[in-house]
Amino acid sequence: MELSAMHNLKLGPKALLKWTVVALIVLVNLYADICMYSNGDIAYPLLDLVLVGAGVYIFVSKKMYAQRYAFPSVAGMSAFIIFPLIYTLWISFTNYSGAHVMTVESAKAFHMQKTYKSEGGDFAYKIFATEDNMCNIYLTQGDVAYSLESAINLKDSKLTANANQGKVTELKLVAATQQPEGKLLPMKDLMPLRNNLKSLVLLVPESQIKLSMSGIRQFSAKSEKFKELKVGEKADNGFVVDSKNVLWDNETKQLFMPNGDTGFYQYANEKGELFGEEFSPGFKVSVGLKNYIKFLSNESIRMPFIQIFLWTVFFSGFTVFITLAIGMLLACLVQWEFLRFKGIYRVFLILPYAVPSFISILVFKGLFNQNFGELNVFLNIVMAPLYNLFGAQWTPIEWFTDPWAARAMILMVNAWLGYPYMMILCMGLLKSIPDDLYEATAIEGATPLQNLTKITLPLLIKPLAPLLIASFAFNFNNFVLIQLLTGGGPDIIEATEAPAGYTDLLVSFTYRIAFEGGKGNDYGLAAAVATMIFIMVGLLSLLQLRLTKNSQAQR
Amino acid sequence: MAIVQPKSLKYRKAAAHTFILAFLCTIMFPLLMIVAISFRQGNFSVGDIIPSAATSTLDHWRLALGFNVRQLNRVTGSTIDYVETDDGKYQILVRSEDDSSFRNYVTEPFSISDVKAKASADVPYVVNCYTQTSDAESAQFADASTAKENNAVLESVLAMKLGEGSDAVQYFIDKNDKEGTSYGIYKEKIIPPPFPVLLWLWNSIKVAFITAFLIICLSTTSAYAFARMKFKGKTVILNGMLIFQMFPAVLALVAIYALFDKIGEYIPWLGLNTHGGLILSYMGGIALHIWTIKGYFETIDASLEEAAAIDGATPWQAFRLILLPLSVPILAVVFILAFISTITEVPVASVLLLDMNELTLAVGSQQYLYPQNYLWGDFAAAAVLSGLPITIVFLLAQRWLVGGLTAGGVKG
Repeated sequence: MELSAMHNLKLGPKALLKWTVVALIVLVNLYADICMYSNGDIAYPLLDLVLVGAGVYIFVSKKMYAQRYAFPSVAGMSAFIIFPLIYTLWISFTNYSGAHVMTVESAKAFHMQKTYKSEGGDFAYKIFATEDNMCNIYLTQGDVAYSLESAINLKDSKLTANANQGKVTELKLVAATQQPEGKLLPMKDLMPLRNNLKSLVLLVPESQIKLSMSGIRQFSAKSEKFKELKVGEKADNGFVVDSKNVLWDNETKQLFMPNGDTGFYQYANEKGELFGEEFSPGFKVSVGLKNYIKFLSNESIRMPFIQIFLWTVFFSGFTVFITLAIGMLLACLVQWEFLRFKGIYRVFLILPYAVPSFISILVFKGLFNQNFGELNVFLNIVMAPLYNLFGAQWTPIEWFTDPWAARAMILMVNAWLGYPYMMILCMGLLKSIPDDLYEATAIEGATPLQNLTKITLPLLIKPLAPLLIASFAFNFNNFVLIQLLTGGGPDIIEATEAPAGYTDLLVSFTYRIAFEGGKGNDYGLAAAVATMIFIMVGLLSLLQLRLTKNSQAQR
Repeated sequence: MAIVQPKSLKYRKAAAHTFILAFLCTIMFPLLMIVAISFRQGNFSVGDIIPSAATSTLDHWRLALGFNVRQLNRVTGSTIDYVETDDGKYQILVRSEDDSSFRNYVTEPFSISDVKAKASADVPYVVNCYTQTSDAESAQFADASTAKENNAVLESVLAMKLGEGSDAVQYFIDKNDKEGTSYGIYKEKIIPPPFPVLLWLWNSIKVAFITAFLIICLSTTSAYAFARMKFKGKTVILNGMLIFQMFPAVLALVAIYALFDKIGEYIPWLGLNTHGGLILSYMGGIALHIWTIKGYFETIDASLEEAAAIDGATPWQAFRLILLPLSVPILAVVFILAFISTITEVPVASVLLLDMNELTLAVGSQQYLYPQNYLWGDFAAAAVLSGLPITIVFLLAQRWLVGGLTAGGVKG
């Protein structure tokens, strides 16, 4: 790179501009990377470094001319598909969840904000205000009394702004012999000032004890509950600190250490052994294969997982089969040379495909509604008299609460959505079958059924195979259908550990583990399921690639 | 063409037509239903399958287009009595036997001629109401024929205002029956549009248009490199892209969320809850488009570019001046495919966009059918309104799209 730089510098202002821009990009990105790294991130600066580094190299190096054209799309793909995949894989080995959101450093910072009432005791206070809104605070404890060194305006806008941002304002106290001048503010006037009062820290003269508001009627001495111990430092109880983020509790004189296995802070004895209650907030820790083992060992996750997996495979397989059957039949019909109005039929048959899927799925959600959906009304009109005829009672189908009805509905809706795609594919491929084959069979007196099974099907299935695999993979991950139509429901009652429903596909199951509250947002577990799906999808796509190559080689 | 035609051809043709027509009826049922429902009254009512002129309403359409809807609800058991004051003006005493919250309200005195002169259907004449304190029985009521005459004049142009400021409710006089023999009091209710549908549609179109444009830019250049140039790792990258494209974004949503959260810290307009961020996230999904365009490029004879290169054209010039103009048809196909797949994308948009006004149509339209706020009729109008343009674009373009679809794309 440097060599070519020397080479190019001679080329004048254009090259100079180019190198300035390149240098600027490099510098800005390096600066951002260092910032991110110092904040404790590793993944993002690494991603940025790799992408920008590769980009700069490719656009600067003469040898890399061809790659310049391909780089933007490869970079986009790496950043928004491959990076999230790897990140997800990494999450699957952590306990990242609703209860474990932050890093251990943020958890430490949270604990270090805590304070406790320390020696110095409580002070009762009164506030005296003069005409010009200047207030003085008069603190008493037994026969000791303090007041502010100088009166302040408690309604001051700067003080309010500071208080709203959580900043504190330190004020000095002096020993007082008598009450300050001005009028005593009644309790009800103190309420609006409460926020501003809370932000004050009052320094007692000589002892330098810090007082802050601890209740509506008193100020108390407070000090920080925890202090951080550095690595190698010896704690007061004799424990030599051997890891980062160890805290010392000033109040109870105990060690307070992060538990690397559970992701919580706990107290520890002088040997550094953790015991007792786990303190929120939790932080992210690596848990190894625990999320994966959960599937093998925990019956309340394994059972719904296997059930959902089987349903997913059945759903995608059946969908591919039924859409292909309908699509191929219709394609044969609308390509039939003797049929009139073919063009009109074709447009109307494609219509379900032309309507945006999110709209048609929601339309079905409304039509299937078990209480006031049009479909049940329609069925009621038709079926009720029929049932009455045989002395039975027709009950409306509970499309959203009965597991099998819900599954039937999903399959029907997906057949509606999916057959036009298969029809379009078959129409294209049917054109490529030479007509003389059919002429020959017509002379031999073959029936249409024989034509279909002996000529059309065998000739179609080969080029269709990779597309069928793609369709299978698409339906395997058909998240939008499930999410918009049933949301996965009705719920499997036995699944107590993670939200799972009878119509859930693996993808929507993953989504619900990650984002549906109630049972906790368990990103780690969701990522583990996602990783397993990645493997299955990867195998499917490899298979598809192989079949595509085969069918292209055949043609 | 087959020379031999069996005798049964006529019956087979009839059977084929019958089958296709029957199939079309089932297929079209939901689409026709949703159009019918959008003209129906209310959000729950299970009305006629085909709406009649008497029961249909444009209210859902007004709401979908962003207008307020004004409803008049009858106050049950209401009676109207006119009290003539000394100076020829009238006061109206309104009562309701059924509605206990609506008892003995009386209007300020007003003159009928004033109302006639000033009021119109759009701007009603407003009179204030107050609670009747004196004994209503002692008042001198106008006789039935005067009352009927007044009712006919004041119908829907006299607004009786009860309450003050934002709590104020207006009541109107309206017919209880078609013949106009009996009149009642009707309470006016103004319903604002539940969701900003047109804004969502605009958001969707904006995002999809920019995304499709950027996808074209990125994928043509890449496809050019993959189709015409030789470099190391070409096949690996091509196949790798195709495989990675099959991993659904739903599974990596947590990572995508975290990524854009991080980007937003440094570049706010590409972060969470921005359309910039959403568009950026769609830049990953271009492998299929690259394959489609690459396939088309390979059908164009390379000798044209070679000739240009001999005349001293750089590869960029050969690409821009020769290959691009020749491949406009496939660019149109990819543009429309990218446009449609962006408009119908749900999972990523639902995680990246948070504000009601930033949502795309695909994310926002779910809000209509929450069980606790089920707006079936409003949804129907919004669905037809927003679905129609996309459907028409697709149908117009489908002739050219078929080729692109068979190349391996599956529409979501």
